[in-house]
Amino acid sequence: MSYSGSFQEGGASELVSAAFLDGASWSAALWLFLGLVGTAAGWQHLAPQLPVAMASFRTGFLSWLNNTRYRIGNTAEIRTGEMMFLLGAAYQVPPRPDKEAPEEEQAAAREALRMFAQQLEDDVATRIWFTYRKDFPPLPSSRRTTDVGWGCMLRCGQMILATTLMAVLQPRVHHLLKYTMENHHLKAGRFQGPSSVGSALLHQVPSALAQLNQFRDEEVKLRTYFASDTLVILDQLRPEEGQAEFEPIMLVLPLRLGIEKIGPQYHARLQLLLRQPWCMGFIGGHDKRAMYIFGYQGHQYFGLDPHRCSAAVAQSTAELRDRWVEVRDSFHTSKLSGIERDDLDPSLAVFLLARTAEELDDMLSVIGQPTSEDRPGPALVSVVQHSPVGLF
Amino acid sequence: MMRSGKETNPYKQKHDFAARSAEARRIRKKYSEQYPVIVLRGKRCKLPPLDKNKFIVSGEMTLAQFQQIIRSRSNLAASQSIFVYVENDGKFAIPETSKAIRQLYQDFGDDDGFLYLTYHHDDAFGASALEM
Repeated sequence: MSYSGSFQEGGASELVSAAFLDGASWSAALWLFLGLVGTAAGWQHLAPQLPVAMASFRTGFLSWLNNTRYRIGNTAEIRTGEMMFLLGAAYQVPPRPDKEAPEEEQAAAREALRMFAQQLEDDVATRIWFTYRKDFPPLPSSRRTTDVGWGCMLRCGQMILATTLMAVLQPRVHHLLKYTMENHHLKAGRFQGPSSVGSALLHQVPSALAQLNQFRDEEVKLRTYFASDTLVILDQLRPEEGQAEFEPIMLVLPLRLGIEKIGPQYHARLQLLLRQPWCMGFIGGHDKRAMYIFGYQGHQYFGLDPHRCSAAVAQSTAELRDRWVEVRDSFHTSKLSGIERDDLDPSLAVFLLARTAEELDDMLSVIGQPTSEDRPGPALVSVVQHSPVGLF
Repeated sequence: MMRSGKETNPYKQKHDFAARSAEARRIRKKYSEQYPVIVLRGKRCKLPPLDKNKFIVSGEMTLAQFQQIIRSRSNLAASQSIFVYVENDGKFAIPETSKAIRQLYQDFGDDDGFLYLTYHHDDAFGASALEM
């Protein structure tokens, strides 16, 4: 990645488009584009108010506590000699050096492991990481200047949306954009579930695309579908008859796969999903800590954890220039987090992106078909032709 | 039938087996194409309770349709998801929402002649240790 931008006077968009010339670094353009989203989300309801001094103590304490917790948190424990999957990409983790083997072979095995670790780190570091932020301008109708302690699911939602938008746009976008998130469902300060975050984010996609398209010669299209009540209705999903071109579609599946714990039979199907190139992963978590999950190995799920508090994104071009490295770095991490599959909360929201009609067909069979040799585990949703609602 | 542990189903706590099965039989006899269904709120579900929890449902109706009835009775916002599952004597299943009530009744109906469905919303996340 080359982030060596020569900054010029001018609007933020010019500044960043000058800085991003290669495909790999356009992810950083997206962070800004989405980074303003999270903190500026228009939560409309009044949150419990605290005196300002109290609030800043609280913020400081909470971010300290969170960062402490994060450091002692759960790093992925990757096992050698086994396959692992990240966003549909398969990695064969090299085996540990055999102590009985000749020294040359051991050295080669160590080198293979080192190479693998580097490759994995590069993969993780190019993902967009959203964390808690503090000291941003107060949210509308609230004095809150941080989302520490309550915004983790929202941050996970932003990560998965950013990943999806990157997948649909890459590598054609080189512009920085910002858009505001007019959010009508989420209250500042309140804990969020994966389904409500998934649904709220889908509402933002049209305005995000409209703003992206202002900067493009060729219009990007992306339809969205929210599978409420674990139903996928083909009448609503398939493009109109006679439509020449397939429009990419993003599906969000809100699921609850158990009461207290996730039903163990569902892991096989979730893992099958995570092996597919059209699966963007899911947002879920454990112990009320939200996580964006997009990979697995054996009994462990892998992903990015938002429980780290960073300073607010720059509010002006001048500030961005001053804090450029810090701000950029705060959107990336090379740390992959892990979660034991039995600890996974049963509530989660899966994000899928079909770029072609073939991908859509493949997707529908993986999420909706009953157990078979190729498709272990139960179906996650019901795929039906017509809406079953409104017949009575 | 042997039952181990404490009964957690509030409907079963209130009515003994004989009374329940007599009522279920009466309903099944009176309405051959309709089925007695009890809808319970999940243990830690924070949605408001339904104004009634006993339903006589057409066998043709799908679970998805029935879910709409539960939704409308619990004043759920469109953005909120609801999940319905079967929990019976410690057994747990997530039925397919495209299935008809008749099918669910056959697959998951209780020995007492009722079909018990439990609804729940999705879990909310926040670092709970940080609640102050």
